[in-house]
Amino acid sequence: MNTNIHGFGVYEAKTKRPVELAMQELWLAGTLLPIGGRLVVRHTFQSKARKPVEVIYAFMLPRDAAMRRFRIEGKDFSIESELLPVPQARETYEDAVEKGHLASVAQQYEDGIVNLSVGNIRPGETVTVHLELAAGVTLTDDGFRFRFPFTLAPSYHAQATASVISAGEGEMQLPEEIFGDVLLPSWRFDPSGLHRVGFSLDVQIAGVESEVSSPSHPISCGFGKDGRVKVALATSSDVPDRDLVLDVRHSSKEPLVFTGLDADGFGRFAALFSSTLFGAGKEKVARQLVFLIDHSGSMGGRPFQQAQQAVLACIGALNPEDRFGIVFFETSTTTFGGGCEKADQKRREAAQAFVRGMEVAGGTELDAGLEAAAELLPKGGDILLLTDGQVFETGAIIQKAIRRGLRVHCLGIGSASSDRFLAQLSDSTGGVSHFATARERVDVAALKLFNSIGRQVAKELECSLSGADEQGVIAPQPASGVVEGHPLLVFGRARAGNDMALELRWEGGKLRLALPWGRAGDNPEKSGDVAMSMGETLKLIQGARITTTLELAPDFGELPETRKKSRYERHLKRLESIGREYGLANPAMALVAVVKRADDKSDGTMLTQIVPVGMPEDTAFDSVFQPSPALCNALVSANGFGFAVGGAGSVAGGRRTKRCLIDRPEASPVQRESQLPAEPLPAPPAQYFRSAPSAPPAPACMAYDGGDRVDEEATDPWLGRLVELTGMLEADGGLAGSDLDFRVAWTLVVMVALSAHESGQELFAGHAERMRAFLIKVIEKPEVAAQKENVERVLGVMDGGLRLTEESWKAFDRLGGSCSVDECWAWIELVCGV
Amino acid sequence: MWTLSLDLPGCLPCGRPGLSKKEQRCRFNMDTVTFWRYYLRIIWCKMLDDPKEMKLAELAKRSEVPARTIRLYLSMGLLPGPLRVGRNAAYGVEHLEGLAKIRQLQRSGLTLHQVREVLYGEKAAGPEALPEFARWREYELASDFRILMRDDGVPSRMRVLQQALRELQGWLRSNHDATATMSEEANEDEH
Repeated sequence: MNTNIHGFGVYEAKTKRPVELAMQELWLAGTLLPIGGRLVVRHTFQSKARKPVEVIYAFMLPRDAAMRRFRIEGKDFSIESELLPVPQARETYEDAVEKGHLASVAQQYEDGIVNLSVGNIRPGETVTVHLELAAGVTLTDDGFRFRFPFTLAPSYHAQATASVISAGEGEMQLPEEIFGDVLLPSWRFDPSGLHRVGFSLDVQIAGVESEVSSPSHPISCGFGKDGRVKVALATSSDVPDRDLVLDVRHSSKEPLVFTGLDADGFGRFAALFSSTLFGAGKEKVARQLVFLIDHSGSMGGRPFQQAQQAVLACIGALNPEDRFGIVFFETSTTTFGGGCEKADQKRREAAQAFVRGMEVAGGTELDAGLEAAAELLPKGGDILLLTDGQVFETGAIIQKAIRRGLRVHCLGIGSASSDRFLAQLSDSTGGVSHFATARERVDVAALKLFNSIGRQVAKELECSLSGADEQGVIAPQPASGVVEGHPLLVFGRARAGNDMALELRWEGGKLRLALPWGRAGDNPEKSGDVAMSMGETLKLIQGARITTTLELAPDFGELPETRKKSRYERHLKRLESIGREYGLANPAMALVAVVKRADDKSDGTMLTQIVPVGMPEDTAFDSVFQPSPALCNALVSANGFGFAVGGAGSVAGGRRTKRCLIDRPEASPVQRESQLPAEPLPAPPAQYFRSAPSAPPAPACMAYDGGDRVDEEATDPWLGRLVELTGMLEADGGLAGSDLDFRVAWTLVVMVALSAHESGQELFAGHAERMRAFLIKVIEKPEVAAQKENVERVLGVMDGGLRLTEESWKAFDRLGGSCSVDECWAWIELVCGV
Repeated sequence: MWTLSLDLPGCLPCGRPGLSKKEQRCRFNMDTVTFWRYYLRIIWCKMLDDPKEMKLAELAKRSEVPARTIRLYLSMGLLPGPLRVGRNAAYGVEHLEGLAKIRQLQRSGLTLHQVREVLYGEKAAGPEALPEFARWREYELASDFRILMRDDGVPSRMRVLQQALRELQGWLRSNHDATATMSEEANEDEH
């Protein structure tokens, strides 16, 4: 239900009746392969207004994604779009709308934002737009992760303006000189009255058994032949307040190859090589790493706390010869003193105090953060970026990052982090990117990403086609190295023929993979009402990757204006050419369709409405939208209560719960800020508002409870403790203690716990290695000689694999830095039988 | 029978120059269909001849605001409705000026809602306006000690204040006796 109190929505001019939501549903269908997806998004529009309506739906493209076409359907018509240069498409749309025709245009703007406009929907008419996209996925050796935005994050830009327009709804505008005429939706704190979303996808991994899960939505899976899995939303529908994330895991380590003929008869192929095929990373080069952490308001609450723990845990895994630096950024940057220096004991202790002392505040000046981090790495190195990525004008940020010549590894955090942008940032700088949803542990994701930094398993990689003619080409060019845990994906095309193979050569190795070809139109598959052949699918996914790489505006540097203009025009021409070659939209090419009906007429009274979206579930509403004083007055006078006016990054706003801070006109609103974990704050006591004559009324706004969600901390309460402890490792690899006896015992206890945890090998291998090295070195000393035999025995037992019971874990949790040596050994004896 | 009386020199169908005003007043007796045909042509001429009226496309071109955006402003009530609806919907100078004003206010840092408040402020306000409010952060440094800090301070200033608070917090924690309440002291005395 629309709860606009001081509504600023769309109203019919004469009657002042609010225009109800014109988009009822968004349904995602399509096919997912390990190399990408071919998707169809169905948008259902129905106007309940008495006048024709123009509806604009704004959304973000997924990573490596591009629009192919759309079909607009109604009672008696079904029209396909055509791909035209943007000015021509807009002119076609406007002409049609002016004449009263039903028309639709899909145009892509900066940052991958799309405006899908549908004009002249008649009163009571239902129109459906099926939009076809090709999209990428995030690859790991054991599968892939697919992310689709069901909402758009209200991101940061220094020149953006944002404000509350009514209780629980905010608006934002971007400067036109940078972003053109892009229209952003309004954001609603309570998404329950918005359009419904759902999905039904086919997952295919070419005969390999796979396991599908989702940290974002409840799903149901149906298993078919050849390893196919049909994944659908388990409930009938859901709300648009978070991205869809699907994890697909498979055990195959063999190369996966996909081939097919496109509509023109040209052979298309894609090959996926697990990083394990390139051998294990042997070289351990000293790392030069800067941790770049976002502590803007949108990161408030548990994400930031876990990010802090993650950074400390990563520092705990550094060897003494590694160099590290730390930069926090929000509207300004804060750099850990001393630059990027060796991880000695003094520096580790200082870093702990520094990181723990930071709080969330302000906006997201990522560019300034990257600049500050780059200054710490004058001779090159890696940046580990932890951010929700909620920024606009990402193209400029990426260009500057490329110019600095550093590898940027990105961990996107949150239910609507900008996966597309962070993937582009890491891909274009030679880094890797992951993301963690709001319901996953940030510290775990950060540790996984950290573990893959600097572990190259293949260098100086070259790819070529053998048995192909001069038309055979590999595009886009893959990276020149392969990182542990991240597979290599190669796309290409060639005239199909026998004995054609893909050859890889790298320092110290080579590999040859035969490419089997099928016939044109072979095995077309129907998914989401769209018949598709593998060759066409490969062409689209490949085209989407190339398009995403090319759509970054050229780096103008210090060029004069006239040359900037000509370079930009050449860039647009190139985009037009790529768009036509692959049949995909991009910032220079848009999709448009017109439906002409005999009784069309225009009377100039069409109502234009932008479809609102839900606020990302983990972003504090008041960290982005602040009410104007006049609105506060109006809200108070209308209802006797106000809005939760919180400071940026308020812990209270970190999670949506059934409570609201009450603002009274007589008292200045006060936001309690705390470093405690994000507990729901109780309503302030009555005496807080001394002049209030009676108890505050129950809040009507912000009374939305997201319902039962799986809390990762509840299911694995020990992991946080382990992350915390690994952050305390000293420079010599052991934990702190009053004497060497205690240090040995306590370090051994934690090492046993790490090895027994199911994620121990994946997350804490580096820490365990350091701890083992410490123990082996220290037990040679005479003062702890008595423990030597026991320590060696325990290390041997650990190598054979350990599992702890619930009681053992609880006992471990009761131990702490203040326990005794005997208590430590008692626990070890209980667990290891030593 | 209809009588069409025209006082518009140069207007179709009788635009003969050089006539006096009296002579230019034409009176035509005609049937209904013919009347309406001439009447509509006159309106059409007026529109064509009136430089201050324009269609949406021209308004968009002259204001350099896209047509879609203008339609949004109209729908949101930021601009008045067209001068004329129907097939020949027209817009005027006031729309041009309105668009310029909206743009100016947006460039000063206002959102569309705030622009509306400025343009139609007297309609949006409720009772007597309250003074501008301030946002504060509250830190509880001890069970008996809380302190307020403005939330909109300059970041560097806020860091200095926060560092001072950390030092104070550390001092308070290391001086437990100093935080005892009257009742706690009384209890200690008894024991």
